[in-house]
Amino acid sequence: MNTQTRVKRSRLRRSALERTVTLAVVTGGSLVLLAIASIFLFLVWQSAPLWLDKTDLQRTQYHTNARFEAPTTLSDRQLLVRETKAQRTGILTFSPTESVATWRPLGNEVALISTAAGDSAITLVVHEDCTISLYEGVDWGAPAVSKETPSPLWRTVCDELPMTAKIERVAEGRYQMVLRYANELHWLEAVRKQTPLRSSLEISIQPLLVVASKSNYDQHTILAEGRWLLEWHQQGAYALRSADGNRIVEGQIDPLLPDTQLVRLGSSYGLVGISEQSQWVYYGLDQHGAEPALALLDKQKLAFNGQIMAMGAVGRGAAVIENSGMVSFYDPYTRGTERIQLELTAEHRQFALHGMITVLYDDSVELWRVENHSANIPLLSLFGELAYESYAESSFTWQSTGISPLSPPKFSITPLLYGTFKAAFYTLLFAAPMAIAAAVFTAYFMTASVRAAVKPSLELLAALPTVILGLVAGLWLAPWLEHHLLHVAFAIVLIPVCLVAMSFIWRLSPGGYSESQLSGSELILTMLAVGGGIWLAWLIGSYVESSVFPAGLVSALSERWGISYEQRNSIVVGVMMGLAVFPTIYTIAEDALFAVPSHLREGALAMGATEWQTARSIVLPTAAPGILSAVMMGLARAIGETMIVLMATGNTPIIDGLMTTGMRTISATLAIEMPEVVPNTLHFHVLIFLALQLFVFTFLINTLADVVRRRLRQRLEHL
Amino acid sequence: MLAAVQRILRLLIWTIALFAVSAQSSDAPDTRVAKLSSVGSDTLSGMMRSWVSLYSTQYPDVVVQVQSSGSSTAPVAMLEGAASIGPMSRPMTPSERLAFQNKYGYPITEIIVGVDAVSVFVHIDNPLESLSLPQLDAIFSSTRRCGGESRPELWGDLGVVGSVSTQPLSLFGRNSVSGTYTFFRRQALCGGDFASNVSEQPGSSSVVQSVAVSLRGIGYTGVGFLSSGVKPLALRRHDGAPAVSPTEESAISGQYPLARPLYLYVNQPKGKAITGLERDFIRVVLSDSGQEVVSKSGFVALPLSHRLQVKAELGVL
Repeated sequence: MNTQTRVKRSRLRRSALERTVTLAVVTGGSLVLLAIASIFLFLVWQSAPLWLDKTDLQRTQYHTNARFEAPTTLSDRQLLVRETKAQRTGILTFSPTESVATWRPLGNEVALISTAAGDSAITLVVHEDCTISLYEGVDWGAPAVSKETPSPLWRTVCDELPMTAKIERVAEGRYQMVLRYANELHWLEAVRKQTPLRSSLEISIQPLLVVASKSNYDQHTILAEGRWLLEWHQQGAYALRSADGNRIVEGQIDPLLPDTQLVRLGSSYGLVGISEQSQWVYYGLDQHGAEPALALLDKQKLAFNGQIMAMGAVGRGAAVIENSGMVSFYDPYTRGTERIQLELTAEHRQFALHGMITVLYDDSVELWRVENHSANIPLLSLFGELAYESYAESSFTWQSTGISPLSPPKFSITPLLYGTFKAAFYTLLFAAPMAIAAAVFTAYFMTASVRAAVKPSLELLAALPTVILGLVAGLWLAPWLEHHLLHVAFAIVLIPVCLVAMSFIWRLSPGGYSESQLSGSELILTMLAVGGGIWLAWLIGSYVESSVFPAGLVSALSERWGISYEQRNSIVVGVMMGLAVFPTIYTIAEDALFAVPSHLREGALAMGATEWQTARSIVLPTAAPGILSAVMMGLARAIGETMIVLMATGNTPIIDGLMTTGMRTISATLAIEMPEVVPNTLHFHVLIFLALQLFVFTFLINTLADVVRRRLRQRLEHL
Repeated sequence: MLAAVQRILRLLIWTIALFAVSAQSSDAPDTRVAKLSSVGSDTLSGMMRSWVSLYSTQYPDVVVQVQSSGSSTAPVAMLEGAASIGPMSRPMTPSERLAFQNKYGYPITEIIVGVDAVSVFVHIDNPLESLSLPQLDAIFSSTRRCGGESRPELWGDLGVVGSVSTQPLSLFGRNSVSGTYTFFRRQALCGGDFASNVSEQPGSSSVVQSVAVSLRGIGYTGVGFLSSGVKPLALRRHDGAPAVSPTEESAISGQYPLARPLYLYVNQPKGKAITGLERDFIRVVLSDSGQEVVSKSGFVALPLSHRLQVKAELGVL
């Protein structure tokens, strides 16, 4: 009775325990699956804006008492307009907090006014009495507080009134002015005097160039941070003049669509226009040839059905607005185009487009500001080879941080994909043969006791933190390899040769030849052979280097064969990451080999096959799927590995398969750039898309490897 | 797989521990009332932290908050009143100054607290002594905006003689997280892009180390990080201009082309003596130990005469 209850109770307890454990395992397993699925969904969701995102335009409306026309954008809160009734020019200033616009007519004495974009406190004013002045810190749109005229930084007197006058900030503390007269074009530079410890308000003006304005050019803009002045005509003829006045280059581009212009991009090296065939055309100042020229970098179809009312630079690229309120955007750096319909309220309207979109109605003004520029990027630009301004040729360029606005970021993920697989390839090239050979030896040739000691100690390699491997690779291996490249190359050839030679010597030695009696002696002999190989390699290497390559192999490589050698290269990565991947491949391959049923092997040996024949024709083929899966696991590990590539390579986003150059992998890119990226920008979404690809690659390879391994296990059960 | 699970578990435990700690610390009421806040440059963030710890030892009852998210955030934060000190690695633009003056009715006080200079260096045995800025741009960039004629591949292309002349150049620099990366790109590459074969190193000392062990190496980093294995190059503004070595004097006088001042902006009227908590903070910054922080962070400290003059102007003697 007592025993029965005890047995019953213990059975109950056992089943309860069993159920609890099962429940825990099932819950844990499904939670893991859920976690993986949600990570995947998160990555998909966060990279979707690359194709689905729309530019977000925010409208603010300001009521006005009068009707205005001919708008020109001065800054993001000031507009130069003409009052229709009185035909007076003045400045509309928009309050940042309330929907109020204040109108201040410019005095009769002001003929022309221009503010430096990005630095609206500097104004160039041409007075009716033909004095030209430069002011700082004067807000011409603010209601006049005092009657006295502010004192200018600089003043000069002209003979005749210029037709146009424009000032621009070309660099920190440098401004340039272009004054167009009936027969002449004046190009001046204003430089603020500054040393690191003293910056002064003093500005020195120097004339750069005075040219007779030829009738065949009627428009101009300053390029390359004030190094070149571009003049052009609607029909496509253009001239480039250098700031030192020594060079003038003339050329021809496609004729532009009537009523459009060449819009200079924020970089000051690129221009966007619309060709006669109604295509967006993107030109860059190409300085790589003997003479500078405008190079056509891209063409994109522009679909429009109305009349183009205004064109200007917006965000990274350019935009046009049609009569109907349809806005077309073009981003030359991503090649993305977009069309957005603005909801316009009333009929009579005039447009200005510069940074923001301005619409003038009879009694109000609407400003449409770009709140969030779309992260839209065509797939072709992500993977493709693109031409950019200032570049010598089109290329796969990953330069994800920009210098706004001088150099917008470039996103071509092809070099990163290439780099990821290049690193994995060289890793496997180093690790796979060694790990498989070691696995065969451990599983097949070693006695059980030796195996019990060797296997765990080799697996212990996996416990080595990769950051230490990376450190050693960067600080020691890379510089060392650069100086001993030839020796290492000889060693790779000579060590196997010595091993084979040693086995021959052993075979010939009297009494030493005994295939079945493997004791500790073969280990010593192997060591001897390897040591001898290295010693020989050093001897020959030093001799060859001093006689054939006196300047070193590295310079000979580039000089004689045009192969560039980077200190942080694929060999370094292959060796160090190989060490990290080695235990993974070794363990799985060894398990697969060891799981080959012993009766197969014994049968083969009984039939008279030698040990080697058995290993080659029975054990290896049977375990081949397992070895394959081991290599795939190693591949997945190599693709995802971050720390070693980050520290051992130069993270150079190049595309070439040479083992003497480096690479930039996806994982290293994520590690470097993710901490500093601004959320919800193009850069952010591209990084998430890279993470998604990394996830998919490793997931697929791991799954495939597991399927292969499971198949093997089933097959072995049937044997 | 197992390793991954372990890693996640460890992360979870750490997160929970962190939450627990932070929850506990937020429970304790802060008895200190006076507050000083700073928003601005990440180039100066390390120095700001050191100054704050110096300041806190002298004034333990003042809470100092430092946020470093880039120079452009400083004028905005000061305009909104969110910060009274704005560290910046560039001067405020006239429009930023104007906006400030319109809001507060007085011009902002600008204090230069040190000079950042980037040096270009080669291996100690490399006979090269100087480079011009167009040459430097042609070496490091793929855009050649500064006007270099062609890209030098071998050291011989730069006029170097001797055994190194047949060797190809090996380029080292910082990665994009660094302020030096951005400054070098802006100043030395004329705002262009780096060539794709410039090895990006995670730290300044790593760049120096890489060049110190490679005869054909060339790299750039802040002046404070140089070691004995490398030789800083003198730079010429254009071909034919005099070569200027990166010394403290040349960086401060502005003759060395890759130098920029580092600023602290203080929300107080320009030209008057600084008052309040900011006064004590600036005093710490301009003190001997405060300037030692500047040199230790790899920047050039202010010369004593200039410092005395500035201190007199600001009334923080």
